[in-house]
Amino acid sequence: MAGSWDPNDLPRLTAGVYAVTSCETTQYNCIAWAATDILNWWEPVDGTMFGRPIFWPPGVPRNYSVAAYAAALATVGYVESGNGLLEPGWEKVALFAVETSPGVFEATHAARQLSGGTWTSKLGYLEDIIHMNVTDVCCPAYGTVVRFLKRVRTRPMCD
Amino acid sequence: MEQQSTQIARVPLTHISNVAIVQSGSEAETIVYANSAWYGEQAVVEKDWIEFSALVSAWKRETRLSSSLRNVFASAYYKSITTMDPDKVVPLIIRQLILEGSSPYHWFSALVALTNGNSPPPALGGNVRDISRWWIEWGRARYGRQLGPE
Repeated sequence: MAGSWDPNDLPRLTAGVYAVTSCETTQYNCIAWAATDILNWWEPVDGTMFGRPIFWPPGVPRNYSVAAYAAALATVGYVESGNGLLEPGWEKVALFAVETSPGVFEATHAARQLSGGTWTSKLGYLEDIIHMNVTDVCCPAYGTVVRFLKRVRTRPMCD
Repeated sequence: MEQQSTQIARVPLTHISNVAIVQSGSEAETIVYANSAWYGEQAVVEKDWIEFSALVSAWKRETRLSSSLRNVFASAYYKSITTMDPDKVVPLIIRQLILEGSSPYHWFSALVALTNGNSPPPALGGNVRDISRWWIEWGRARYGRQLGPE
């Protein structure tokens, strides 16, 4: 099934490297999906999302820095990982960022590694997808991978 | 161009071809005539709907991939939409919700603001489809035929 995005927006997502795994939803976003939370939209802003408060972990800096996003994911067990290689027993997340001004990076996207080594991403308002390589979702909107995190994999292997 | 029936159609831009813009008598607004695959024949399409739809398309193109509501609502296209005359833009947004069906976009904050705080009951919680249905029913009760054919 083809995704609903404009191919020009995600030029690396060509046929054969991805599969759509959900319908469009604004119930959760990519960072929430990386944290395996499908009930909340995670973002360091005040306000509500369809009647539900926008979620940001208590005590985590409320800004869009990569460090803040890493700290947010640390609240659900993620720690620094030197790479995105598949390690049995570990669940990894890749954080993406764009350079908004020289030397200043703003977090834009998070992708979570599945037990077989492929990756899953929630594309903003759009669908969840599985993609072969973490860099398959590199694009102008998401920028590039800037950090990897990992946590002990606790969910069944068939995720 | 021979004037067709004055059926007001909520036609997505993607269904419009062969657009011709003509002045309609002494009316200040221009009526756009278009061949519509949606209806299989010429239909009158409101100029406001054309302009609104163009802004919506541009807004979505700019923000659909974003996981940041800050970026979604900071869009200049969104601001153009939400600073339109509420009496004009609210029925257009309701029409858009009807078109979006089970996948409504980020319209609900704008609707609350444009309707002076009118909002769905808290009991609906975060159910996107229920909230969308509520707004559509509210819109039909308020704007009726202005929303176009069901």
